Amino acid sequence: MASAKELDEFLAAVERRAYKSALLALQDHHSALDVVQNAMLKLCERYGERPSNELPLIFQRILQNAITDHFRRAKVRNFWTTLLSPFKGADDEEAGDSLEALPGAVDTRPGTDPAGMAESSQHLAVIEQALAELPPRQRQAFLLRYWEEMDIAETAKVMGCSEGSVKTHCFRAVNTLSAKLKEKGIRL
Amino acid sequence: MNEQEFIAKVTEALDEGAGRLTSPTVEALRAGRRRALAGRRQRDAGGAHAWVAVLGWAHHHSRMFWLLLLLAVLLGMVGYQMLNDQDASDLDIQLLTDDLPPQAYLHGDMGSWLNAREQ
Amino acid sequence: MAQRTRAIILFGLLALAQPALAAEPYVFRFWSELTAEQQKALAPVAEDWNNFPPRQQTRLLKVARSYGKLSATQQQRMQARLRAWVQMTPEQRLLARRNYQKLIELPAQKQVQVKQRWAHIQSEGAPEPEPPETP
Repeated sequence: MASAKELDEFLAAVERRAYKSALLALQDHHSALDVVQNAMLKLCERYGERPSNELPLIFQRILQNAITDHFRRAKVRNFWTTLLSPFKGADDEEAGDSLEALPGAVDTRPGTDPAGMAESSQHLAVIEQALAELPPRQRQAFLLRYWEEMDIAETAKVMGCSEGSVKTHCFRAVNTLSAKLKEKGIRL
Repeated sequence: MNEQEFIAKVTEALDEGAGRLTSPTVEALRAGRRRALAGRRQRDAGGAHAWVAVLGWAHHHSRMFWLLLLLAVLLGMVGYQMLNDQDASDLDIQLLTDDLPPQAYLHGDMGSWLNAREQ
Repeated sequence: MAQRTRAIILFGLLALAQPALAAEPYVFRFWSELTAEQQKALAPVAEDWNNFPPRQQTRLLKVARSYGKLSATQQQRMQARLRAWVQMTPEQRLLARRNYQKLIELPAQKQVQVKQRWAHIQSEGAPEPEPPETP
């Protein structure tokens, strides 16, 4: 049975990736935060007694379900308007929280961009945008397999599909991403 | 570049993005984590508080009758929920294999048909 | 009986009740953790299984236990209806159970009448309107 310390360590290690994954799926900062915080609560309340090696699988399942539910209920903002608005001008007074509404957005106002990070930030932003544009199942499979580093069996468990489907989703995800990045002129 | 390298570069970019979260977000995540853990600890403690409260009470009202009644309530609460589900599932299989499909039992008129005092 | 003995008895009995009160009696299982028989019985809901809360899973597993004892026709029926069943909300399932309970408590002839009424409405569409009053 997982101790409080093990739970804390696990959540601390996974929370940023969880938030990012939710953000890529939901395209909205507050929804993503909401979903991750609720997933943490659920994990601790209902599954805190499980052995610690089961926590990653259970947490990802809770998180993915919460994202799917949210998707169905909330309106997803048109990502083109989200994409275009930060480029309109540097006078955006609503900095801070709202900047994270665009995946990968970093404060690039004049005077806040030391060491010319702007270019690599845009680079990052484009990669994250490409991921956000993937079909949900492909993105899910990609992130679980390669970012959460789960094996095929674990990914299949979390996604509730066969191992063959996982392989297909991953294969397509990589191809689609590769094509999108070429299209957007990014060379890795 | 082969597939493995491509994937590695993408996840590298993702890691970098995750590392660049603004501090309000990082703080919100940490606060959420603390709240979740606190909720769990409370569940463990809840049982202990119940013990203390009940024992103090039993000490003052030392009638066997009341102790047994309390016990009956406690075990009843546990048993009730589990028994409820036991019955529910026996009913479920019957319901699912009977003549009517499950939606039939939701039909608007069904309630009145079942309650009607017929000819 | 002495005060202390009473306290000891109470301690002992509370100890028995405590784990039941504190722990959730329902355990979540991934689809891949089910036995082959369970998966066979619940095949229509394989895709959604991992999204079900533990309590619903436990109920469905109990349904699955009876599957092996059913006739082939009954098995087919159950599986045909399983998807519709899980797609209902918990409140709807509760209502369905309540109504079914009432139905089977009716005398046999009345049960048949209710079932026939429903079947009639299904095949005919809307119930026939009342004939207009002749002046």
